[in-house]
Amino acid sequence: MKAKSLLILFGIAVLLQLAVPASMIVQRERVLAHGQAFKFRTAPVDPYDAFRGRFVALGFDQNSVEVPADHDFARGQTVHALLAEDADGFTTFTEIRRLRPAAEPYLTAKIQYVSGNNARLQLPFDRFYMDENEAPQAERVYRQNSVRSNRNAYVQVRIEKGFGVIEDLYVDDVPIRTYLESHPAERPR
Amino acid sequence: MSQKQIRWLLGELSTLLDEGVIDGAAAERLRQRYESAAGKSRNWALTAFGILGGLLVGLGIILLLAHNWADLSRAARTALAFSPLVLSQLLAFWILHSRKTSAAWREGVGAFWMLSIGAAIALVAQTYHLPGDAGRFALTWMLLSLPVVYLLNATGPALAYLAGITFWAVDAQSSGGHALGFWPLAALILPHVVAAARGNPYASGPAALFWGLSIALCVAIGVTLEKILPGLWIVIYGSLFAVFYLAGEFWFGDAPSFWQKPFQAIGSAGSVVLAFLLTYAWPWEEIGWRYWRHGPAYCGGAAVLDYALAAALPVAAIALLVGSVRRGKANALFVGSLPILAVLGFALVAQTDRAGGAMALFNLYAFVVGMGLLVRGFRARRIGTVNAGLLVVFALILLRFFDEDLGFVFRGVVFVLLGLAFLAVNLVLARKKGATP
Repeated sequence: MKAKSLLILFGIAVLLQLAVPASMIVQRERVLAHGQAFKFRTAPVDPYDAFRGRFVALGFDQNSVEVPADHDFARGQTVHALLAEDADGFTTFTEIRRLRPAAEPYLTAKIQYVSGNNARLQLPFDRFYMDENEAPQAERVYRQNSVRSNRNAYVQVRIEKGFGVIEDLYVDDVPIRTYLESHPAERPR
Repeated sequence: MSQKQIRWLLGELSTLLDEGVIDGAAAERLRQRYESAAGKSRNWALTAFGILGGLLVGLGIILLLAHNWADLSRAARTALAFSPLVLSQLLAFWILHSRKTSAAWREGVGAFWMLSIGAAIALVAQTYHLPGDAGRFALTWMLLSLPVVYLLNATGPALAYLAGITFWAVDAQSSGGHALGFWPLAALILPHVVAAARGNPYASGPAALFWGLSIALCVAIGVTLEKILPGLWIVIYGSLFAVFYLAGEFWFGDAPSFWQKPFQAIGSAGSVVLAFLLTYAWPWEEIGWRYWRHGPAYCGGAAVLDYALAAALPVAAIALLVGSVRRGKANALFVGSLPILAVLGFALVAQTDRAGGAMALFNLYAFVVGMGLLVRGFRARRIGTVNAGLLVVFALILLRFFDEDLGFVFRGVVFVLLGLAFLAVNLVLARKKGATP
């Protein structure tokens, strides 16, 4: 390869390698700054699948939406789900659409499966990364607070134009790291 | 000549000199001629340590970042994500600028560069809690790393790229999509492989690339098949292994050692393993056009590749086989007849829905291959070939002895008859030998 074309290829490679992670960051920073905040109530997670390394595996209570009887939605399809708040201030899905809604807030997600007139969405959040020393403990606290009898855990997500970024995981209405600091008794050992 | 032989020769020189076999000038010429070859092994060590160094530093950075320094602000974490990447880019620029062509520098920095790209994307994913989509992560990483291969002309990153896109293909297919994208992705690395092999295809770099490429192909073909017409894999894999073996013999037939024959090695080993699998009933169950599969998990469009491969690979294998036989290489028939038998077996079972005939065919095939290797080994007095033949025959005997699907009486009669046949052949051969001493 000639020196000049090598240099050009090098330049393009360097720019791309910097631009891709940078654009990932910029897109999310913009959503965190300007996006609307939504609370997603988390659901009990399967204890055997729950702890995977240094993150807290998230499950969601509200991840299905009613579809009309004559729908033609299919598994794996990308759709836009309209968002609403229930009486407690948690997010629910009211309907799904093929085209991006113009005014209403929505979240873009894939359909996990459709059964009858119910479509289950695969939300684009499934893990909350934490410090390797805090994660096991956070996982335990999270699990204790997402069982049916004690549902105090939720994630706050910023959403703009269908794109969601997790802001924080809350337990008892405080961010999980603050919760862990104020509940040292719940530390194992 | 291998390093071991060179060391032996250099050690032998003084004895040869003492005994007067060669004179001092000849000894010196020999020493100069072969010590420069021994110097190559020092280059090798430098390259190996370069790769190890780059790999360990890169992996160490990934581990450090994975700890998740939650107390750092998002801006600090961003800086942290980019610093190893920028450092590796500066190193690469320095290598390109100073025209360092030594493999140690290229491979070492290549390994570090590739890992620092992965570290940067991983840290962004961690900071913003991205969902755990491993396939997509691998794909982004590999595409951003592809220029590393070409800029530094490095083998390690090329092998990692092959592994990465194969992983992506497995992930894409198993999560309900299809992995046809593997083929254009694999095509992107081909110019590098071709350029590397143009000089000496038996050098360590191209040989490693050929191993990587053939293993990735074996995995990816199985993964990207859509499997709408069940059983087509028998035809496709049978032909693929034959094509590997025959093409390897055709283009790289004079390779000096096993490690320089990846296509022949994978082709022949794959053929034998496949032949043994096909002596069982399960591969033949519910295959062929009576059992079309459909449902949301199958993409009809992606199945075009299945049909194209099932048509093209046997044709390619047979063309190569005809070429080999014309050049007087009758040995090619052992592996080369596998695709023909696979097509026959598939058609037979698909039409009759009974596996017995095809199973018998492949028992016979494995037996003939084993015996053929044995006879060839005895004739050429090559112990390796004899052992390979014995291995195939004994494996076949053992598998059938413990095969519960066949009745005891049937197995017993066949075993006794075969044993008697061997003894009779021995008797005839011994008499012939006795008659003409």
